Amino acid sequence: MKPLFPRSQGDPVLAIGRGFTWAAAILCLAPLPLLLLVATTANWPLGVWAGGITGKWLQEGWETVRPYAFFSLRLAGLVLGINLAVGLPAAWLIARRRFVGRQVLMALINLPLAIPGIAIALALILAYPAARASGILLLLGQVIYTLPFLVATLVPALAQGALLEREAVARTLGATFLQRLWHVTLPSIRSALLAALLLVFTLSMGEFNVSFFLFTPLNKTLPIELYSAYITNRVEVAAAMTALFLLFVVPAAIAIERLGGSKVGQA
Amino acid sequence: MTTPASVVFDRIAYAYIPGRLVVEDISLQVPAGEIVVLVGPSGCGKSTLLRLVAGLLIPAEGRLLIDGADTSSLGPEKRLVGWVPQSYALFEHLNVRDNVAFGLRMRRIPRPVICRRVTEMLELCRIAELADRPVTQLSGGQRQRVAIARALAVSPRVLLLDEPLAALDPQLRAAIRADLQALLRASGVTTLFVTHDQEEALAIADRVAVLQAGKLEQFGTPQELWQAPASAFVAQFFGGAAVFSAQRLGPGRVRLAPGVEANIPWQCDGQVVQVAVRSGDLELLPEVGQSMEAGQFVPTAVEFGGDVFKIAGELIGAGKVTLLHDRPVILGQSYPVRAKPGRVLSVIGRPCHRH
Repeated sequence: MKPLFPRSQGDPVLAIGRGFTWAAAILCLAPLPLLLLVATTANWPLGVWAGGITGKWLQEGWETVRPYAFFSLRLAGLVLGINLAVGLPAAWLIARRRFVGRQVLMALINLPLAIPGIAIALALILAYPAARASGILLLLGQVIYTLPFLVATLVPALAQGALLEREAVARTLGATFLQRLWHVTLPSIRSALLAALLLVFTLSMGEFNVSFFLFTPLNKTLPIELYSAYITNRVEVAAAMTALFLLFVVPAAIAIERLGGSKVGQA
Repeated sequence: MTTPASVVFDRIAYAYIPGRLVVEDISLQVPAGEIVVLVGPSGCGKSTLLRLVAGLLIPAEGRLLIDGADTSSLGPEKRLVGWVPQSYALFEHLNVRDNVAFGLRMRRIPRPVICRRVTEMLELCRIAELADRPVTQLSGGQRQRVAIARALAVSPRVLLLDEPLAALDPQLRAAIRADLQALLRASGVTTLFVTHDQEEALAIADRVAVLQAGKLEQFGTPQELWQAPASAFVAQFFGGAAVFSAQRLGPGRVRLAPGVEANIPWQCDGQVVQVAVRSGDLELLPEVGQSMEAGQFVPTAVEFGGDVFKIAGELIGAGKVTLLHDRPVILGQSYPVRAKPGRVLSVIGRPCHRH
């Protein structure tokens, strides 16, 4: 006899779980088509595509968004560079060396995960009021906010026994520390490193909490500009700007997933 | 190729955690160009000894000499010692050729020299046809050869192999072992070879060092270990011998159990001697003997081994032994048994070789 519902035959818990996953995915993705509908409707308050389909909001949105988008890209690039320069050595130390203060270093790096972005921002403003105008605080705030994610992704990759053994072999073959780092360590953690950097990039591009307190008129990120667009502009323009914003973030998010995103953020 | 070097362990001790020695008071001399096998159960410290020779660990006590020179100030980069860990630790992002060339590139050897040397190594290890393959696509035996070629490419003074056959399919192991031995002989390099398999040790070694719980039990040729085991542990480890105390009856003769007398080397003296009884040393008699004196053997387990049955049981008055027989037996029934007439039992802990 054939089963009536072959797919749910196995484990009912699994079937319910699958249902929830789909429901959550639909709930999360539903606003996207809506966003595009709003952005391409001439006069949204009158209904879907009222007054015809138009590209003018997208165009207008792009004009408004462009300078902030490039600012955010530049900022994300800087955040990425500082993360790499600080986070990679820190992750290496935590993964490889048993030194006094290792736990303290780990706690310090991970601390921002437990502190709301607002608190980080306010603490920075109170500590360095003079640095705010230059935009340095904005950069610093984003680095503090993103660093734990980079370190948490790199530490397990650097602590792998197999990698340590490959480095030891390289040593017996005559490789110096820098040669081992360049020819063995970095190629071995390549995908974890790329995933971590993309994660930092998307986090920086989308960050709102910290940036909202630290931006200045000359140093304004894309999410902050989106926020003001929703407050002050027509809803169609805001929708168009949001759709354009996603163009910057979604490709990176997909790349993280493909590089083994399931491992990202585990420590 | 660099001439092979001797390795001398001089009262070497090492502890991963201070105060807890994993190897202790190890002294042995590895002659240049020989294959020395370090053998013992897991956790006996044999892999630690390899890491000490490679310079990846620094001895807590004692001196380690390579080619007669103290190594304490030489890092692993400078020792010219090839190390092949059990996992082979191939560089997964490189192909076979680049893995083999790695050590030469790190030493900034001119490109044409590297090219020639790598080709030579690929041919020696018979992996030339795999040169451009990614190492992730190789079988276990092929990976092993790449790891050895990579270690040999820099012309090491000593080659260290950590359980090189353990990761291989048991059916292939014997064939690959023979190949590996031929390869090591062809390269002429001094080799320290770690294994936990006694059969492997006896097959491949010029000399064997038996380790237990971080201490050296015996160091000698395979024949020496077999014929004159230094301790009951060595006797049990090689060939699974049963160890009994036997009453010495006169020169070269002992009583093993009531009704069972056996030969030992003439030179051994003393009232009581410890002897190793291996499966080939005893035999069951066809029927309860008329005039012939015999002991009693009660089988407890039978293993079919193709040509013979391997029978475990109790030698009454002595203890558990195994023996070989050409027919199956009934478990629990008593059979007449004697020492094989021509055999001479190994005596434990005495330097009385038979010749």
